[in-house]
Amino acid sequence: MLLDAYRPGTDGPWDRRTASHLLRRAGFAPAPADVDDALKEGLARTVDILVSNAQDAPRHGELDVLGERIAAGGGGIEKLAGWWMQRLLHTHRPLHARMTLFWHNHFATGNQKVGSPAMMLRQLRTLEAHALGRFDELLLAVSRDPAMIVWLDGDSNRKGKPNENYARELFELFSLGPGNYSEADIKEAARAFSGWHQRAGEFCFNPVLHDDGSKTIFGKTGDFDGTDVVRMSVAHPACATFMARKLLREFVCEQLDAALVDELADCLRAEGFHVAPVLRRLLSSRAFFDARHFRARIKSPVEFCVGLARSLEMRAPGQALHRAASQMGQRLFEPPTVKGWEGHRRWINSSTMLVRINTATVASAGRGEFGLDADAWVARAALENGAAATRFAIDAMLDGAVDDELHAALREAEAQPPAAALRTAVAVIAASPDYQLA
Amino acid sequence: MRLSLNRMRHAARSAALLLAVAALALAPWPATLAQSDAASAKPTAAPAVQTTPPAARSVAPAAQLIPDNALLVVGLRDGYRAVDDFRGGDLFKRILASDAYKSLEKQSEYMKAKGGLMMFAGAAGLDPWAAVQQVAGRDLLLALLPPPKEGNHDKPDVLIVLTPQDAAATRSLLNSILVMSGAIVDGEPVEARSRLVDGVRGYSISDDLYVAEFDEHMVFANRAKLLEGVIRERRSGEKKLATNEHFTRAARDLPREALLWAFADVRQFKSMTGDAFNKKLDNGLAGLLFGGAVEAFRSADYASAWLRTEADGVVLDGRAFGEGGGAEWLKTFAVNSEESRDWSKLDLPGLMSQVALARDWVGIWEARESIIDADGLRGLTEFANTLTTLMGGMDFHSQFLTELKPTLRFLAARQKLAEGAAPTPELPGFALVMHLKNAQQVAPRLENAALMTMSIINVDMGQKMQPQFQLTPRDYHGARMLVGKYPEKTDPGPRGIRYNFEPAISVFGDRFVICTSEKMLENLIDAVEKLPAAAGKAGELASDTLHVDLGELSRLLDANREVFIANQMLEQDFSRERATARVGMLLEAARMLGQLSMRVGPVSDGLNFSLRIGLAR
Repeated sequence: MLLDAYRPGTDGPWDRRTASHLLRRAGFAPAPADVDDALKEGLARTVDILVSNAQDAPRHGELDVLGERIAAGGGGIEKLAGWWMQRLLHTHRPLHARMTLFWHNHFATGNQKVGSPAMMLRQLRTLEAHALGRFDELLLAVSRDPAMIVWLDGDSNRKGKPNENYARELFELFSLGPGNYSEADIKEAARAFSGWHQRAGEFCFNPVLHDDGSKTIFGKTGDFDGTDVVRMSVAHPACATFMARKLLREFVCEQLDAALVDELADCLRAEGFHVAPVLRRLLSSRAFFDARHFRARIKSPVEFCVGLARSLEMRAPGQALHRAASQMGQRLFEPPTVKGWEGHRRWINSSTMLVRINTATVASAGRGEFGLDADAWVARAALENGAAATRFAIDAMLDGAVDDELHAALREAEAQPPAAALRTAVAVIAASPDYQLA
Repeated sequence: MRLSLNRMRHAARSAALLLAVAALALAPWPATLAQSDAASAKPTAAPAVQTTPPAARSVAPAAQLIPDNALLVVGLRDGYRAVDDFRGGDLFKRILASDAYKSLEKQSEYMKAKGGLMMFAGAAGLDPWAAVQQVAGRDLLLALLPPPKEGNHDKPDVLIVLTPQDAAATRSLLNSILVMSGAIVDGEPVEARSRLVDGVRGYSISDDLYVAEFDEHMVFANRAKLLEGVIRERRSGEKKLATNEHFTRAARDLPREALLWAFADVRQFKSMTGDAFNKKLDNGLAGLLFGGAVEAFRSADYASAWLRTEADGVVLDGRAFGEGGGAEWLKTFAVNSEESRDWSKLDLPGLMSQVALARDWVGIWEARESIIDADGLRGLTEFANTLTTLMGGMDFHSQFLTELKPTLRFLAARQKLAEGAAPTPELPGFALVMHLKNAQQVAPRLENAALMTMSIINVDMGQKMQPQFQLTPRDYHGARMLVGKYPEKTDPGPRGIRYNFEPAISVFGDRFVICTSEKMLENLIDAVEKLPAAAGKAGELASDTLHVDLGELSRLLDANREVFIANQMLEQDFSRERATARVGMLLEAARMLGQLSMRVGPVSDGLNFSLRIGLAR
């Protein structure tokens, strides 16, 4: 079975490369100390910490208050996005943060239409609260989320004049995927959601505008409302498969093995769509540690920026990080369409790659808004010469694996004094094709 | 070993720069500042623009060493004494006793700088203040020179000539820097780091800082060849700044009390920057408001400025002048208007700032193509067409601008909003005051335009399901007002209604006023009624003026403290504690200031300006 547990020593090693792979996929590029901790704890305990850790960084308390202030104070969506990046940077719950990002893309909602940072923050809180919880509960919470109601025109969905936008996306993008429902199902589901409105940023059920007549959805007839439609969607046979595909694309690879999809779908059903145990199984599996899946996903801009800053503990204000990610094509709270960011190969083109290279160059020089403190690393890691500093960068950023071409490009760095060597090596590696892959 | 030497060189260079900066920052504040009366709480009149600087003074001897093609020269005279005066003065005591300084003392950057200064001063056997005095010297000139033609340089050369007050102490300080940087070892110059040129030994402190001492001067340069050239040419009087006619004129015209002064060769800047300097403005409205002043400065050949102290503040005077001197553009400035009230005495509650611009509006409109680029003109045309439409077909140029008197005023004042409607951030109220030639004829068209604008805003807000303004006409002390207000008990909701903006317009006397709150407009109507008669001379070229009550501004900043803390946390990744300390320090520093006044005015050969900053009581 592909989801059988990976046994270090029997199925393969538990070393810096495998530990980094786990930490990178289940969060962001790790700092050297994080990899050391994972090696010390072992695979099972590391996965356990990733999935179960409920304690976040001490700074998260004050950052949470800051988020509320920004949203309430008309700080604007750019500031709120910068604030989110700052939390991603400092989080001690990387898997939780990563899943929140995943759900933000899954339930893609854009402030350009919602027009309210406060409502976007509220949606983010909802995604965070259910990030590793049960999918059916999350789907219901999102269906009642004020920002989603504005985004997909729930306010204009009323008895006698149903608006189908939410029902259509619920089936197509949020739970089943195309081909698993009919146009009639959409029309009937839209009636079930009629009267699910928001007022002043709060969910508000308007019984007068709700169509409480009989509806037929997926061949079943009854006086269904939105809650019933969510329950029926998750119970639909296609839902587990649809969500299994999305999770595998996020955590394992783009090219999916049908048997692996089926196994994960079964796992989802068996766990009652509870995401935490499903991820625990996936992240501990032989499939996850299959050599073909190492460095096989293209990092999103947020992964690239947050990972670069976290792995080398760079000075990194959230606003600057978000500016960089935006230039690379990912503006948080502003997905391009209701489908979210397509991601993967679409993240890289000649323009965005140039931005990645420029960002890496500026950050490694330590002169920009966010950047590397090379002198501090030289002292802390006792890097005595250019070769040691270059090796350190290779280990920290590429798990020690470097091909001949990149190694040749790093020769110039090796000849420099340690701090300059570290800066050059970080710039060269961060701009390399290998580093764009998670 | 190589590393530590590099670090020492870096540290030595940093210390040298630190000393220079410290001296420049501290020196212009004499002891007399704090012994004076405190600034008035009310805006004071902007300082008069001096068409001719008073009391001539001689050219600095250091100018004999600087080539005459300097782009910019900054001078400090008697810095040694100014540092001493500052240290013994009340202002210094005030700073030391201020909360701002106590906050500064806790900043790690400050502690590092202070430690570095003490270390280098100590190495020279001086206390830190004596070290700063030595750097300020008797005469200090900093010159920016055009980049050298040979090589691949694109940045200007830098030359600093210091004439010490106490040559032995300054030499001791320099010696310690040379030892720390490794240019002198065991009392002997290191050959690789020093060179004898024409009998004078020059040293390399770092790759871009060189120094030599000769003829009572210490000369610093950013290139070895530049320093060598200065040494070789030191006895030649040709092509030196001291013989440059324009520089000597500017230096001679400096008032005796000028502490810090600057001279710029604008012609050279223009030839160096080419199109960048001569680029037309790309914003149509900005071009209309400021294009004349910008063009006047562009067509100047030279500029000079000097800083002096007054009893309760500092004044920076300056001028941009030339042979052709912007004569074309002087036409865009208005002569003193027929405004009969003295607006500098405006007693508006919470008044924070007042800007007055005086223009020949028709003249500048007709000259717009020479001032504004194609994009800016497009925007300006759109703006003019929109206004023409809103004003019911009243042509912007031929019917509106011709009806405007020259002076346009922008006011900002603290505003008190309805209970529970305090917005974040808390912004001041704003008002735009236009003076009309035929108010009774033109005002109805402008009122109509305002009404249409508010109606359009209402339609937009309605489409977004947001609350709309209730438009209410009313009279206030005989003035007709039109006010747009949110309905009472409007729930702001999470979409964040901007309570800072409740438009109010009025026509009273010859004035048409657009204001962002009803209360501010009422206050303004009352305050204008009480204005005394103006004393301006009709026919003189009018100046632009700016008054800012920095105390009021600091109160506004304080009211938005949380916003600034949030910004620091977001933009600097500071903890809340650190961000709070940083913002507190800046706000405390702002509280030490009183009034700011600026005046910019045209004269026959260019533009003069004067900026005055007063201290708080």
